[in-house]
Amino acid sequence: MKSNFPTESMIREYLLGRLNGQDKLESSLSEQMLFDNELSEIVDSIEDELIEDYLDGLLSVADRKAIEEYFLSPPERKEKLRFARYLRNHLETKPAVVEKKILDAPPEPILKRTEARGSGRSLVLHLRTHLRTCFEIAAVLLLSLAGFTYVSHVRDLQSQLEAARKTDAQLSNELTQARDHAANLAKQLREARPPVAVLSFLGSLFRENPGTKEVEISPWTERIKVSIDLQNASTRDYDVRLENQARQTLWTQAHMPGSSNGLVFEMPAQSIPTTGAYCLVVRSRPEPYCFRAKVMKN
Amino acid sequence: MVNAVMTAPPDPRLGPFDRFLLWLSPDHDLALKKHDEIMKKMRKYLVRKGCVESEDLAHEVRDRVIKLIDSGHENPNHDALFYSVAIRVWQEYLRKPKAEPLPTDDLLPVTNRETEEKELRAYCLETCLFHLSDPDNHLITRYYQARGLENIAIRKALAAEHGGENTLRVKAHRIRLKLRSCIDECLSRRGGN
Repeated sequence: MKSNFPTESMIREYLLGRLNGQDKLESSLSEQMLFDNELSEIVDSIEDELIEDYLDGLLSVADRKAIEEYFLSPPERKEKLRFARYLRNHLETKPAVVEKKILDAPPEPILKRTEARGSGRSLVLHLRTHLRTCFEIAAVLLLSLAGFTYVSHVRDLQSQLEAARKTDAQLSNELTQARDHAANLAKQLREARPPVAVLSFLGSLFRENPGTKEVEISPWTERIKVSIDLQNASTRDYDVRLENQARQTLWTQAHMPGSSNGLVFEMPAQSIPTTGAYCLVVRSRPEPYCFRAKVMKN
Repeated sequence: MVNAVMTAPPDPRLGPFDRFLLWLSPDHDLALKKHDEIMKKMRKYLVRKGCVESEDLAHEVRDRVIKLIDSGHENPNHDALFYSVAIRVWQEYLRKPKAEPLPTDDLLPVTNRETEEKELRAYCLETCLFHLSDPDNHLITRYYQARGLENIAIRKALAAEHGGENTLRVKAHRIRLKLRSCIDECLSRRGGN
């Protein structure tokens, strides 16, 4: 407020018409108030305050009389009074602090909201808070769902891995069992299919009667174990050869040791190719040891 | 400062109002703007002087000024000329017998149309309050909630917050002006005026 401005008290006196009798002062103030925009605004604000004080019942009796008989004469001031009364009735019951600017649109007509003066702002604030809460809850739910899905997936993978391990162990077991079984079977096969055929010469033999001794040679026969009773033979070494009926040598073995049990040796089964008569000639023995061989194909 | 309009003989082609506008400013638009500003001041002055017919009296002041300019009156100070004429008009007004002013509160029964207008006014007020900025809304709400004898302490605190009682008063006044202007516009849009 500029220093040359009239005081608030003087302005109030002017507005209540109490300076009208003092021409010079009144004229000077009128001119100053009219043409100094800053002072003019201050005077207008003091007019508003006079009206508020009047409505508050804060004025003295004399001031109240001046308001009613002079100040409120112009219709413009009556309108100011009406507006002030209306505004204070509306605002006195409003919440002190409100927020807005969420919605650009003005509130619905009060015709539709007669119970809630000023609730437009409260409604906006409530909606804003509510909306935020809803977003937060939605975010938490989404995170929870994602977490649950992840954990579920991990558990699935673990289960699958466990199952795979079990299957692997089971297969290993089965493989071992199969191997054992195979080994057993091989053993049984070996037992059922011996690799050695036995040819034993006991008593006297005749070349001309090859049918007296017979040996069966199977496909799985690998060796033929021969036992010859040498009867009074010494324990010296003997040379032996295998001959077919055509007197061809099919196999020979020298320096085979004799014993008190006779001459025992093994010869390869493949030495005897086909079914027929064969003889084992032992050197220094008077007669060969002949036999018949039956070669089995399957 | 004396301009060419004042010293030149009156142009017979121009009417008194045009000459008056020319006196206000050679620029026609600026002249109209000045005219509106001066008329506003005249009305304000006459209301402050307690005149019931401030609008009519302001026109009276303007018409007398137009006559003076038309007659060749030389006064380059627009404000001073208007003011001197306004004082005279007011003094004449004081001497005139006047009708009893209407009471502050209407005694006539409220019609249906007035009820509708009341509701429309309420709607416009609500809308205009909504469109105030947050600080303005906050201030005007607290200002009215701090009325009454029992709230002097609150008013003092509010005044301290806003740079003193004078500043607070002017701020509240400006917000009221905004609201009134907004409400008038709202009412005219919705046919409530």
